Amino acid sequence: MSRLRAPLVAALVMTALAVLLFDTFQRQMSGAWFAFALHPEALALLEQSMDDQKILAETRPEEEAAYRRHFEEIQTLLQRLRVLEHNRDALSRRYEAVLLGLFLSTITLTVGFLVLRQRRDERRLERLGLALGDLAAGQSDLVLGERGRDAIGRIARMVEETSRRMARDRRRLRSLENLSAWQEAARRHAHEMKTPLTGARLELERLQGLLRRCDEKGEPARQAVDGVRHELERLGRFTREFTSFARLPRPSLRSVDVDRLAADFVGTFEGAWPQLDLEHRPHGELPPVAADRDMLRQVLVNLCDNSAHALDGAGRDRGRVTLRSGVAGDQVWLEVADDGPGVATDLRPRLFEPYVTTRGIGEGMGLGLSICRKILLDHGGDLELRPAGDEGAVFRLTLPILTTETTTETGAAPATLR
Amino acid sequence: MTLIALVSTLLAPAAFADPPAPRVVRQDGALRVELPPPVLGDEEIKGQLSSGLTTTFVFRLTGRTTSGAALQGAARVEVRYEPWDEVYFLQALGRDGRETKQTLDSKAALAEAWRSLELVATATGAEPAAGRWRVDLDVIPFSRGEQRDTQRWFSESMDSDAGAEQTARASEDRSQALEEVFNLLLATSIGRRAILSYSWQVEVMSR
Repeated sequence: MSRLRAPLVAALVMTALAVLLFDTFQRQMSGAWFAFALHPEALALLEQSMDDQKILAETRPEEEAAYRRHFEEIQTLLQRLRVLEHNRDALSRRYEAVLLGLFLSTITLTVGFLVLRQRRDERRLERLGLALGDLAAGQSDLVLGERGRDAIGRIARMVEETSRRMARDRRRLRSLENLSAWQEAARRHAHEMKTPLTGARLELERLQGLLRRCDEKGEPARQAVDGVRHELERLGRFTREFTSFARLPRPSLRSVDVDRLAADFVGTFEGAWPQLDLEHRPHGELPPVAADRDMLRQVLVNLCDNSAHALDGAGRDRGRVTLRSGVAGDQVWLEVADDGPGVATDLRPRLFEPYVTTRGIGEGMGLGLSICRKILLDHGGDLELRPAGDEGAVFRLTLPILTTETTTETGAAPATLR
Repeated sequence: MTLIALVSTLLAPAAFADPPAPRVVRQDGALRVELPPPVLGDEEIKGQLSSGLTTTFVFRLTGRTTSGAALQGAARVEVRYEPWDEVYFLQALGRDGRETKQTLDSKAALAEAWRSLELVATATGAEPAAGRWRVDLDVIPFSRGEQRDTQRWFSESMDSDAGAEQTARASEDRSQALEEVFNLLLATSIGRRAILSYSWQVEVMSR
């Protein structure tokens, strides 16, 4: 209440001054109008006019009726004015009271409204202060529910947007940390496996050389050697997968039009998967993003691979993959949606973790989606599985919008992220 | 003190001096009022009578019945001057409901009619007691009909849309409603105040 005292006192003083000035002014005005309307000269003239009508009627008796009518009209007017004259003070007082009442009501309502708004703004600022404290303490995803269009409302929405970005950045950071840990593990595995693999391969080649100098009796041994070589090659592929995950390069960022990237992908890879129809639905007005075209293409290839594999697993010989794009806040998104069997519910929470796969043993390490997500995280964006119905899976790639100081994707120097 | 009284007497206008009290008699179980002639001679009343408005003289009597209960009586006389025909219309109404109407062609005739009027001021059935009664006379400068006519005319004159084409816009309807409220508030301040009031303590005799 003490915070309202000063504005209340100011409002009361201003109101009192305004009322005093108004009362003085309108009292003068109303008095002047009444004096004007009931001027004695005007009343005297009306009486004179009545007498004139009588005189005219006497001089021209044939028109007495008309003169009498005029006489009675003037008489009626004069009588009404006399009644007003009799009530002049009462009329003035009532007039002044009504105007003063209206004026006071207006002032009171205005002051009341301002006081109420002041108190409401105080409460809003208090809530905003608490929210800023929560934000400083590291809380994210704050919802203030402010709908006002004034400064406080705009600040509240800025606080909400900041907390959303903080939440998103924290999630990205956690994912990056997790993936970095997995990358380190993969690097160690690859390193540990490479040395004995190399040794085993050398020994195998030496053994092959020995067997070639033998006659036909060494045939079973040659077959066994071929079998071992085949397994070693498979182990080598796995090792290379570990390595590609562990040594994922940093993206080389340039200004990219996501719609054009998607259109080029569909044009280039149409027919690459015989069971897939690729379709592109461009947004048309996408702002540019900073991205590595080759790495993004790698992501799209991986997602289409997964869609084709899912269709095969569901026993379907035909499916569709649709690429759609749009803008959300300060990010551009590209969705890759298929009409396959979708992702199992129990798999969804772990889908982007390394070594999570639906494929059989020996058919893949389950690193594809982890690599794709790492690529998007390295771009400052993200990859997520969107909620979908029973039909199909929808993956959304998000990339931050580029600042205005950039060149087109046919140009030049790497653009800078926002 | 004597000097003050002398100066007051010299400076006081004649109208401040009350006219003599009307004569009130008790007859046939009712009070009858004889109108005081000097009332018509008052300058302000003379001027009012010639205005053409209906000057109303309202008599109120306050006293007691023979059984000691409070009793009030009333009577009314209206005088209107018609300036074209130069005649006076007199209408007197007593508490017994009897109405007297006269058309008088001069001030003298009016004065004579006034003097001869005797109004019944109490209803039959109530037995007024003899003794001291209070008699009040209010002179009202116009009739209730003339008041209502002026209120209506005033309201119509204040109405800015009178005769203008009405529009269908809601904002103009709202302002017109406010204007009508404003006009009504002003028009209802036109009242009927007495321009003169007299009060006497009268000794009521039986006739």
